[in-house]
Formats: sequence, structure tokens, C-alpha cells
Amino acid sequence: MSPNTWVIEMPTQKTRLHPYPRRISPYRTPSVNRNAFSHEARPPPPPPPLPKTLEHPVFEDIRTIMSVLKASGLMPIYEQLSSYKVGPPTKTNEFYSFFVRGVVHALTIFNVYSLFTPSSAQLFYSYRETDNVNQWIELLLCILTYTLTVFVCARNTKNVLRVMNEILQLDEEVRRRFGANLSQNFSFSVKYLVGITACQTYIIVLKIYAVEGVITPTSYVLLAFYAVQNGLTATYIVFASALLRIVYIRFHFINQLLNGYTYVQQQRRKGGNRRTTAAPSLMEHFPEDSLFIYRMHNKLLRIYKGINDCCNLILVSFLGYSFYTVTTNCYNLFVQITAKGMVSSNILQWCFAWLCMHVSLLALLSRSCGLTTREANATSQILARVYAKSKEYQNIIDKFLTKSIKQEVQFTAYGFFAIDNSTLFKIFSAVTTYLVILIQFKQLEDSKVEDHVQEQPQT
Amino acid sequence: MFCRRGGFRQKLVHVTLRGALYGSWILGLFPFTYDSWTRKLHRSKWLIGYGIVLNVAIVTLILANDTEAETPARMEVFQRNPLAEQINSVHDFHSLSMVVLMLLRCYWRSEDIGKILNELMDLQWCHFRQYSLDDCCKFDNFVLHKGLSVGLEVCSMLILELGMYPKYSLQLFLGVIGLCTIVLVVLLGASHFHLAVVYIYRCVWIVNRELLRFANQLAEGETVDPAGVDRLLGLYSRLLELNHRLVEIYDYQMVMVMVSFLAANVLGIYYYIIFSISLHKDMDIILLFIVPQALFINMYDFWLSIAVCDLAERTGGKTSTILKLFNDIENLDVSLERSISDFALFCSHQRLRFRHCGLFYVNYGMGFRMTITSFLYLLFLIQFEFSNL
Amino acid sequence: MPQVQSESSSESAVQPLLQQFQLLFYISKIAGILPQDLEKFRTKNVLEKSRNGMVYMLAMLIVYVLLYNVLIYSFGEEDRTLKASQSTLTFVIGLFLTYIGLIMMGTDQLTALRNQGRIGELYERIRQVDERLYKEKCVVDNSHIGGRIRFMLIMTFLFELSILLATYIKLVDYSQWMSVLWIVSAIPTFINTLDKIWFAVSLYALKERFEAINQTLEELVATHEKFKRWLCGDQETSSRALDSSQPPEYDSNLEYLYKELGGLDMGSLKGSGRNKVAPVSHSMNSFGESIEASDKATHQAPPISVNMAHESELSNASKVEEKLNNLCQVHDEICEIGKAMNELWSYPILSLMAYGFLIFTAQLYFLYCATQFQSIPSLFRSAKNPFITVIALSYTSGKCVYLIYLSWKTSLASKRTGISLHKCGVVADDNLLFEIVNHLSLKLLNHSVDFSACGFFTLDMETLYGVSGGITSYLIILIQFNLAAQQAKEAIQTFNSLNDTASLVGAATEMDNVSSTLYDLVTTTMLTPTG
Repeated sequence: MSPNTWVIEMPTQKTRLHPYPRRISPYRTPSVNRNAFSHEARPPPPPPPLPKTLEHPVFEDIRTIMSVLKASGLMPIYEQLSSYKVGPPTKTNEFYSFFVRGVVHALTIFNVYSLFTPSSAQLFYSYRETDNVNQWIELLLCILTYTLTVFVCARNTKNVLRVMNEILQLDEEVRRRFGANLSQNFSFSVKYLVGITACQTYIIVLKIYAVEGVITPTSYVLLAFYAVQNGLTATYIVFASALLRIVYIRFHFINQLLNGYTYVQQQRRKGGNRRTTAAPSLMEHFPEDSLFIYRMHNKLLRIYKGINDCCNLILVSFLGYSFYTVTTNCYNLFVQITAKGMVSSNILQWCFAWLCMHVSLLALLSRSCGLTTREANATSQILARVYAKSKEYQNIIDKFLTKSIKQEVQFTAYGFFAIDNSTLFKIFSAVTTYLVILIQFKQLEDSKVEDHVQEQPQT
Repeated sequence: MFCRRGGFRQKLVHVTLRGALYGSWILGLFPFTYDSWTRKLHRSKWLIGYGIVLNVAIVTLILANDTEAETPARMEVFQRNPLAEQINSVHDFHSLSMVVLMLLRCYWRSEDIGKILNELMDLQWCHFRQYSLDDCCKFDNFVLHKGLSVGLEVCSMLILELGMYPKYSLQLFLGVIGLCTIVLVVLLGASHFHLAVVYIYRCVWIVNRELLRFANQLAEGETVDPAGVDRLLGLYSRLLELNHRLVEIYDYQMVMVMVSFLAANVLGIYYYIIFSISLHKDMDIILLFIVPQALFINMYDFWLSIAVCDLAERTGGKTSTILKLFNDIENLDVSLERSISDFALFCSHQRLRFRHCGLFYVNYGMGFRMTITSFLYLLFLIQFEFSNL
Repeated sequence: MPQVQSESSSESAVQPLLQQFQLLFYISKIAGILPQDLEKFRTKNVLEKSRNGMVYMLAMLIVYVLLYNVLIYSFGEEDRTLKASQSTLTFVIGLFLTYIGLIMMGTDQLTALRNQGRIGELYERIRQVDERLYKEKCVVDNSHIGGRIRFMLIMTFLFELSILLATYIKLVDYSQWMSVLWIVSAIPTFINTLDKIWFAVSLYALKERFEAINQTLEELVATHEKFKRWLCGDQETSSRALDSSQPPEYDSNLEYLYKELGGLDMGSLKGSGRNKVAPVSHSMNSFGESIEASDKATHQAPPISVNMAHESELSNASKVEEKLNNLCQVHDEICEIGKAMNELWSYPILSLMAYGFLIFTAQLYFLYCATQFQSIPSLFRSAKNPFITVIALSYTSGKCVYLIYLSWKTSLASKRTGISLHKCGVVADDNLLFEIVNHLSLKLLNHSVDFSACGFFTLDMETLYGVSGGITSYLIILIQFNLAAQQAKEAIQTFNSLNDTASLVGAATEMDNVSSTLYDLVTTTMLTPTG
């Protein structure tokens, strides 16, 4: 352990196993299982399927997106040691990832080179000087973002594996205790994947149609690589959201577990069977369950931090890139709409495709972050709803509540700002501001042109 | 990891710190004498007098040998854009007042500064000596970065001043040397604050490590003395109090320095744009190398000053996260439980944060907003320039 | 919904909140805002789903949309001729603004349709809260809510009618038969206002409940103080001086909290508290009455002295624990109701805020355009007259500001409960009670009710400040654009006539541009930290 990556070290699993025996109480298992998910609109998870074989793959839910990322070298091609543990990649696989990354960097260098040479000039055909500059910057930003993504991913290989292992460990513990298998339908990731691919293809086709004359192979390479870069960056964002969703489900599980002890549930229980005094049996398991919940919460917070640390920089650069793209595309749309008689459907479609992709990605990211953050902070709120008669239980409750006063967790983009629902709003208000500035620039430019036109006949 | 490589790094850090200390003594920024018997710093009136005389001399030297206005490149820019000239004069005035304020504050509050430093040394000696300090990689990193940035700033100042002038003269050299010295004074003065912050950070880091050790011990079934936690809480509160006093003393200086850095960056880019785009100059060595390097180093220094505050703040935040680890330990001793919940309550009331003049907290979020704001200012300036074309 | 057994006995005592909503319900039913069943409401005072109501509502929505489009079409003819002369920017903005009202109305109605089952549940929960409060001898008076609704309705009618009539008489050419359609232009705002009255009044009711809880706690404190004073009076006079000096001390400690939380002046609050406490016989009377109302409470806690009915619940820790626990639970329940309500109305509020922001800016901008004798979109003809503009603006802003203000006040009232609770702990001066208060205040700290629009921004005064800053800066930017466009036109004209004055005009306008750019700079940088 290097002191450089000084994180909060949790006590190791082994030391934690012995204090009390795991309770696998048969009569409680189904009820908790039902309780935990009864509030969800989604279908309840399948009944706990014990691992059919050892090959039962981990992270089955997000398999598609993982395979894409693995193939592109962004994720390590890990080895599965058991159904609750993944190991570092084998030498060949590691070499493969390394090789892919090398190819990516080589292509990047080639692209940057061709961007600065006139060979790519045919791709920038637009009628305005500033537009070309805009597109040029956009391309550079895209390259920068993707390169950064690759670098950060390569550096964080170990951290990603650690986070994954922690998630798996947590799952194992939950399973052993409650028999609940925490899995969920992650079809949104596949949908997004398809959407991203479609968008990128569409954009490239539009671009190829728009270019006049014969397209040189260099331009083809440039375009194709550009599309791949965009697509993979977007895929990584979807992956981050999916990871956050996974954490969200775990948080939700423990919150629901805790919810079973709140006074609302107590009253409901009382209302249901008044004769049989069910109250003591309800709080019976509270001490051990609460300890379990606190530990899960700590672990989950650590995983949450770990994910945040892994994709900090990528998120910052992606948000910057996305912000820039949205702004320029809005500006282009505006120019197209207000320009008299020069509406080009090609550019309109191009702008709309970009806007769709980036806005939906931003929405996805901010939504998953917001959901997870809210769920993580909700634990103390739910705990505050547990009313216990005895002093001991009250102490247990107070113990947690005291330590969570004013300690709200946040998913931050490198500490610059917190990412949640309000980020979307802030980004759009910033886009408006910059849009106004850009339009002002355009007007200034126009008036300059008019002045020149005026001056020439006068002199 | 590099940390393990042993002594070299530690030596480098030591040399940097020594350099900062002796540099401050020579420049009259550090009006204290060290009594090695009592391990105390004493304020010395003589050093204050020396500092005042020296710095007044330097400022008069600069004012007497001010050749800056005659630079052809600058003249060209100012003729092109009178606003730039006005802004420049405002910036000059601001810099001068910054130097004066920094020195005055330094002498005026020297007694308080001395007390804080003494207390910090005391803490180090009495309580933190027993812990191994070698692992704190970020401390070393920051000190080295800070030393590097100060050196680079002075170098870039030299290059900037000497590179922009077509012909050299004695007057020019005198002026440049004076300017560099005064820049060094400002940078060292600011780095005093940052070094103090990073020392506090190290102490908090050690407190965190100890707490973590306790948590691990408890998890493994061992017992922990509640007095240990109480002692840590006492240290923590003393550290926070020191930090509070420190920030209060350096309030105005740091705000001035930050504003000055930001303004320098914005104006630098602004002149650069005027020079390169509006005046249609060819790309030469000035444009390609001298100006960008100055900007880059400036930003680096600015970001370092924010990063250290953010680092300390985050470390302070980690304390309460570590305290949460005590949640799931059963059969905790009642007195220990009480001590820990005291600690948690203390953390929720007071935090290690850096708030200047009651205006803003210094952390990454603030740095981000400052960057955005300066970018906006830049845009407005360019727009103004554009409409002047 | 779980039914508590004892509820049937106290049901007659607690008047359901919905009873006060009758008038509002009938009007909104006719206007097609709520799909719930009319018959059920009339007989049982409950909101229930209804298929017929849904069909009726959808039909109304379609009719409104159609009518509105006809209106736009018939009044838009002038616009089409104007389009050539107008700047494109104004045209695009105008088109967008024309439909925002319709979008808002659609959001309101569709959300009401989506929520039709849940709103009834919400009021049911409020009723249960009332019952529980009643059990704690904390009676919430619903009677004046009806009056409040009536007042709001009257204000709405007044505003709508005055804007409509004034615009119709002054600005619409009523010689044509089609001009009657102008009435349709008032429909979206009217429907929106009715919907918001539902929200506002319910929110107000929640605030009342929070305040009732605070009041109960304060009363506990007041009774206990009196009780203590009475005990001291028995003993000796010297300790009285010491005792009476104690309360002001902690009052001054709490004063800053009051200032921060309520904007309340401590003096006024103290005064009102004193008014209740000082005349002993009166306060005793009121206390006695409440005891009479709930018959079983008199059994416990026998008075310490025989000759006086002085008693304080705070001296009995186990009993008061029960009561405080219950109050905290009710507090949490109200917070949950508030959250649920906020969620139900989140989209309408978001659209209302967007509408308010846009319309406020647009109306002012068009007012500016009208003073410069430029053409404006026909639907915004009310901007031609400053007087009507003022009425319309105060109507729109009144809606938005009132909602924001009320949400802010509600969350403040919920946070004040903690202070009141601590007062109990301080006054009682009992170790056991102190621990209870400690425990409960930790819980209260975690009850959060913050009203936000879809999580995008919270509804509090800070947002209001930000929005008003935003309106100013965008207005300036718009006017700047307008000036620039005007300049360009003039430049073309002067170019045509080859006039020498062109340069002069250019110089003058450039000066103008400078100042506005600087202003722009100031406002935008002011906004950046918040935005």
C-alpha cells in the first residue's frame, strides 16, 4: 500500500467475519426480500439463483458495455477467480489492452498531425471563418478527451478492479445474509450503446455527403477515428452511469432494509394484526441488522468514492467537451434559422444529431449521479424515522446520526462542482450565456463586414 | 513509488524549506530570531527595520529605473488600445499596493505570526514527533512544487523582462533586478502562508491516520484507550484554531495575491490576443515562447495555491468519514463511544476550511468558478477590443 | 391505507381539509383541471379517480388547444405581413413565447391527469395527521382556509378580467366578429392559476401544521415556566429574582437563530408570548378548555397543589417523551407529505417558473419595443399599454413569488421545530428529558423538506434573487441586440442617402454599446457564482 493513494482502509473482510455468526434465518428471508423491492416499479429480482456453475459471470447486467470497453482497451480484461472475485488480467490479455492503447495513441498522433496540415482542409468547408475554427477546436477537444480517457483508464486499472471486487464482496455478504440477489435490468446501457452508434454513423454519413469532391483516405481515417473516439467516450460515460446505478441499487437495498424498522412500518404492522403484539419481534433484529447496515453503508460510501476517483478527470473533460459541443451546435442552429434563405438541411440534421447525443448523455449522467447521491444521503433520513423505546436502540440510532450531521456525500467532478440534477440546469444556463456572447460576436463581425462594404464606395 | 526511494527526496524537501527560510531572512520578510535553547522564535525590531529599509530601497530602485513604458511592443499595444493602458496602470498600482500591504501586514502582525509559529512548532515537537513523518508524500510533493514554482516565476519574470527589450542598458538591468526581487518578496510572503497550511495539513493527516489505526484495532477485537481519542480531539481542535488564526492574519494578502494572479493571467492573454491578432504580428520568439511560458507558470502557481487549501480541506473532511467507521463496531466501551461522538459533533460544527475575508472558501470549486469568471472577463475584454477595431 | 381503530370516534372532531376546497373543486372541475369524481366529492369529501372526468378533461384540453391555435392563426395575419420588416430574432422569440402558455397549460392538465389517484391519498394523509395532532391536544383550525381560497379566486378573476377587458377594449379591433376569440388568450393563465391555487393552499395548510406543532411545544414551555415560577413563589422571593433572570438569557442566545430562520423579530415574538402568558387567568382558561375537549387527558398528572390548576407536562418525563415522540413523528409525516406534494407538482412548477421568467422578460422587452414604435407580436399587444403591462406583470410575478415565498416559509417553519424542542429541554432542566430532546433533535435534523423544481433549483429567496438578476441581464442583452439591429437598419438607410452624419451616429451608438457591454459584464459576473 503506498501512502500516496491514501484512502480509508476498511478493516479486511477476514477480520470482520468472526464477531458474530451469520444469521440465515429462513422465516425472515422472503419477507425482507419482498420488502426491499416492493416499492420499486421494476419487476422483482429473480429468486436467488445459487451459482449454477463457477462460470457464472460477474456483472452479467452490464455485460455488453463491458465487452465493448474491454475490446477497446479501456477496461482490463479481468480473470474471474470465483463468482465473487475477479483477478488481474493474464499477460496476453494485458498485452492486448496495451497494444490497443498503443494503436489509439498512434492514431491520435497521426490525426493531430493531419489536422495541422492542409490535407484535412477539405473537411472544413463551411462558409464562415469562425465556424471552421469552432469545428477544429471541437475535434481537438474530442481527441483530448479520448486520449485522457485512455490514459486515466490505463492508470486506474488496479483501482477499477478493486472497486469491482469490493462490489462483489458486498454482494456476497448480502447474499449470505439475506439470500437476496441484487441485480437489475440494465437495458438502458444497451439502448444507449445502440443510440450512440446510430448517432455517430449518421453524423459521419452526413459529413461525407457534405464534403465536396473526392475524399482522400486521410480524411476517411480522420473521420472514422473521430467517430470511434466520440463513441467510446460516450460509452465510457454510459459505463460510469451504469456503475453508479449498481451502487444505487445497493444503497437502495439497505435503505429499504432500514425502512422496515421505521415507525410507519410499525404502525402498519400494528394495524394489521393488533391482537398479536408484533412490536417486539419487529425490533428484535434491529441491533445486528443496524450493524450490518452501517457496515454496508461505509463500504458503499467507499465504493462510491472509488468510482468517483476513477472517473474524476474523465468526467471533467467530458463535461467540458460536451458543454462546448452543445454550445456550438446551438449557435449553429441559431445561425441557420436566422440566416435568411440559406437554411441547409444537412447542417440542421448534423446539429440535431449532436445535440440529441450529448443532451441525452448529460441527462443520463446527471440523473444517475443525482439518484445515487440522494439514496446515499437518504440513509440517515430513514434512520431518523426509527423510533425505539429502549435506551440501547436509541443509542444505536444516535451513533449513526451524530456522525452524519452535515456530512453529505457528493459526486464531484474533480472537486470543481457536484454532479447531480442541478448540474444539467447549470450547464444549460451557462450554454445560454455563452450563446448570447457568441451571437454578439457574430453581430459585431457582421457589422464590421457592413462597415467595410460602406467604406469602400465612399473612399 | 518514489517515496520509498529514501533520503534524496527528504533532503530535497529539507533544502527547499531551508532555502525559503534563509531567503525570507535575507529579504527581510521574516523578522524573527530563533532561540534554539527554548525552541522559540522571537520578534526582532532590528530585522523589521532592516526589512523596511531594504524594501523601500528596492521600490525606489524600481521607480527610478522604470524603463518599462518605453518598450516598443508595449507602446504599440497601448496606442492601439487605450483601454489596455488604463487597465495596465490599474494593475501596476494594484501590484504596488499589494507589496506594501503584504510587508506592512507582515510586520504589523508579526507578534501574532510569531505566536502561531511557536505554537505550531510546539505541537510538532510535543505531540507529532513520535509519529513517522516520512510517509506524507503529498507534503513533500507540495513543498517541492512550491519551491519549483517560486523559482520558475522568478526565472520567467527575468526572461519576460529581458526578452522583450531590444537593447540592454545598466538602467534596465537595475530595474529588472529590483523587479525580480520584489516579485520574490511577494512570492515568498505568500508561500509562508501555504507552507503553514501544508504543515497543518500534515498534522491533520497524522490525526486521521491515528484514528484509522484505532478503528482497525477495534475491528480486530483489541481495546482502545478513550483517552487517546480525546487527545486526538484536543490536537485537532488546536490545529483548527491555529488554522483559523492563520487565515485571519493572511486574509488580505492572499486575496490580493489571488486577484493579482488572476488579473495577470487575463491581461496577459488579452495583450497576447491584441498583439497577435489585431496587430497582425508574425509569430516570433516573443509570441511563441516568452509570453506563453509566463502565462503557464503563472497559472501553475495560482493552481498550487488553491490545491494546497483544497488538499487540507479534503483531509479535514476525511476525518468524519473515518469516524463513521466506528459505527459498526459492537460492544463499544461507553466512554470511548462518548469520546468518538464528541469528535463527530466537533467535526460537524467546525471544519478545516479556508475562508478569506468572509468572502469565499478556497477550494477547487472556487478555483473553477474563478477560472470561469476570468474567462468571461477575457471574453468581454476581447469583445470590447473587437468593437474598437 | 391503514385504518386506526380509534379514528372513528375522533373523526367528527377533525374536519377534513378538503371540505374547505369545495368551491375551488367545482370551478376547477368545470374548467377541466381535475379529473376526479364530482359525486364522490360532494357526498364524501374525497378525491377519487373517475373515467368520465378523464374523458371530459381530455376533451377540454383538446378544445383549448384548438381554440388557441385558431386564435394564433386569426391574429397572426398581421404578424406574417410584419415578418419581413421585423428582425428574425424577434420573430423567433415571439413564436416560442406564443406557445409557452399553451405548453404550461398542457403540463398542468396532463400532470393532474397522471396524479389523479395520488392527490386524494395526499389529503387523506393530511387528515390522518390532523387526527394525530388532535390526539396530542393540538388543534389545527381549517376554517379560514376556505376564506383564503375565496380571496385567491377573487384576485384571479379580478386580474384576468382586468387584463382581458382592458386589452380588448383598448387594443383589439372589435369591429370584427373574430375578435371575440381574444377571450381564449386568457384561458391558459387562468387554468394555470387555478392549478397553482390548489398547490399553494395545500402548502399553506402544511405550514399551518408545522406552526401548530411549534406552538404546542412553545405552550409546553410557557406552562412549565409558569409552573416553575409558581413553585418558586411558594418558596422565597430571593430565588424568584434569580429565576426570572434566567429566561431572557437563553432568549438572547436563541435570538440569532430566530433572526436567521424566520426573519422574525425576537421582540415581537416575545411580546406575543408574553401576551399569552402574562394574564394568568386567561391562559389557564384556554388550557382548561382544551382539557375539556379531550376527555381522557385529565386522568394523568394530578395537579401538585390543590388550590391551583398549575401543572406542567414537562415535569413528567415519561409522559412527555411519548408526546414529543409523537410530535416528531407527525413532523416527519408532514415533511413526507410536503415532499410528496412537491413531487406531484414538480413539472407544473418548473413550467410555471420557466413561463414566469420568459414572459416577464418578454413583456418588458416588448414594452421597450413598443415605446420605440417597433412592431411586436400580436399576442403580446398588451405590452403596448404600460398600465396593462404593469397589471399583467404583477399577476405573473405574484403567482411565482407567492409560491416561492410560501415554500421558503414552510421549510423555515419545519426547521424551527428544532428550536422549540430545545427550548423544552432547556426549560425542563431534567437529565432524562434532556437526553430525549437530544435524541429527537438529531432526528429532526434529518427531516428535510426542501421544495425544488425537479431538483433543478430549490424554491427559496436565493433563487428569486438569482432569477431577478437573470431577468435584468437578459433584458439588457435583448435591448442591446435590438439596438444593434436598429443600428444596422439605420446604417443601411444612411448609406442609401450617403449622409455624412453616418459616422456621427456610429460614434454615438458605439458609446452606448460600450456602456451596455460593461453593464453586461457586471451582471453576468454577478450571476456566475450562483448559476
